[in-house]
Amino acid sequence: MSEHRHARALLLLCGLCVALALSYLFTALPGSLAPDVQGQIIWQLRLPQVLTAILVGAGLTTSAATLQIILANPLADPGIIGINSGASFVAAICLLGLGSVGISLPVYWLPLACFIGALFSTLVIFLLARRIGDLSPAAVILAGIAVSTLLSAAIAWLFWVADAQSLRNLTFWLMGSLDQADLPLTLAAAGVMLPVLGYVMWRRAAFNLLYLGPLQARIHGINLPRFEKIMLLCSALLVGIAVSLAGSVAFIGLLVPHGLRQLVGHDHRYLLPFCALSGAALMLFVLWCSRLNQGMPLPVSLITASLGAPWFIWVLYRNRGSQALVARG
Amino acid sequence: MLHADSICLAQRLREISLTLAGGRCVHLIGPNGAGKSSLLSVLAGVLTPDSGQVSYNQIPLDSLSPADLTAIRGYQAQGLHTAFSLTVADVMAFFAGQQRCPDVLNQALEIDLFWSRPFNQLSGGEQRRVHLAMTLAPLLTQLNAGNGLLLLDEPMQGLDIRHQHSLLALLQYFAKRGNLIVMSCHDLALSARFADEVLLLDQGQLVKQGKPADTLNASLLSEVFACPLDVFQPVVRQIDQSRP
Repeated sequence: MSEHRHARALLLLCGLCVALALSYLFTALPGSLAPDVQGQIIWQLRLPQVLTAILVGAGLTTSAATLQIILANPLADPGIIGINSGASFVAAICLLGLGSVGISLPVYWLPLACFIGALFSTLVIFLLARRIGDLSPAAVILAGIAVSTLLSAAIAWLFWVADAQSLRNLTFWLMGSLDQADLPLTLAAAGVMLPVLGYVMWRRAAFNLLYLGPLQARIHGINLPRFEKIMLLCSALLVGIAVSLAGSVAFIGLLVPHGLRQLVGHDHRYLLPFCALSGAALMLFVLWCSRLNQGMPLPVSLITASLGAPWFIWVLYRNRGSQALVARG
Repeated sequence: MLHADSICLAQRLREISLTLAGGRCVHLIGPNGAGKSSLLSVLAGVLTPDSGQVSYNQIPLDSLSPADLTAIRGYQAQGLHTAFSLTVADVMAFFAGQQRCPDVLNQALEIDLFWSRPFNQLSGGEQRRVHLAMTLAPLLTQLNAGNGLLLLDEPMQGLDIRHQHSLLALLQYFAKRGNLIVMSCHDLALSARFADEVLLLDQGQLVKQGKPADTLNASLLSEVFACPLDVFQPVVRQIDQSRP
């Protein structure tokens, strides 16, 4: 019964994504533009944006959902394992530090450098977490907070020394943007993200066995900690690439899985596909909204956080008094 | 047949060797910190001993993958915690692959009563009943065939007297079919009444293995538990006589 309902809802979400994508792609352009210019705008400008929105949305929400279950924390998000801050730090160095000494990087370098920064910060966190607590969820979260705080401090120092124009560039990047999208880069990102997403989806039933902690997962036949390590790596890859493509996008990683658990239940066989599709639909919606403001596109985080935070408060309010929120003792 | 050969585990288990035949309910008793939980977790193949080997039906446990182990043994470790608001139905679906509680288990554990409630909101005893159902349910085919292995760590903790007895009766039923059940227990009177065999553990060592009448001996227990104990003989003798 509920399987059919879930399948129908998933199809509906797919339809929504396609509709949003097409309506964005083919929004009317001023008639004064020559047809070949129009074509260029659609295929060179809008198509990469649409693809980026889909990849970033699906990547961030899927990795957040897997992190929440692996770190046994329903409120974990990719920021918590420091991936965002590593990428942001490198972006800050590229946009502020190098800018101020007069070096400007070629356009492809920024996403690439951010990706390396994301992986590097993840690596540092993993090594630290292994030292302090054998990669236990608490150790990963603590190490993540420590490293993110340090990197945020470094970014704040860079802010302090930066000139006005590079500051504006960085602020824009830090608030997330789908405008740097570029077709070859997006396709390359898709080449990595889609197989990773596919792998996570393929193993999705195994996540259900992590709900009661690592010991129960082992008892019920999951090969831990191998599984945990692989999935942490997958999450790091997805978030690292997503952040490199679109800057740091606030909140959807935390909100979408959390909200979907209330709507479709806890079964990861459905939860993960729902997360990926809802994330994609949400980012397409954000892309679509950001165009409503004709002149300058709105930063992505501005929209996701403004819409997301009130909704999140509502979710918290609806679950008030639930065992997970009330202090015990 | 479960066989352990000089198991050692840093500071917890010292040179434990034992052989347990199927068709019995074996109670593991001993003071806090004696190594009961560690021994169960080694016997379950979840904890790898520093030295020594455990084999079940001549197959060494360390040659089996986690998934293979799941197919032959059920292991209920002590506590269950989740940060998520899973319902009992979710727990049984994910961990036991069951859409409803099998009747034979539900008769003893009565978890249908809170089937759709969040696991986190149940009382300790209710959570324990769910934990037991979730441990036994996936192994039901083996248990019915009489070749299952059940390792239960204080399964009676938090259970009220009705459920303690219905659980022990259920375990006795499974033991009679040929399954091997090893459980730790702090209620010596219940061990006297329901155990086929008792393992007495102290400071990581196996002090005594044998029938309840031999192991539940006043002077031995007083020494091991460092607490003057008196055995109410008629209970043990009566039970023991009624056994073949």
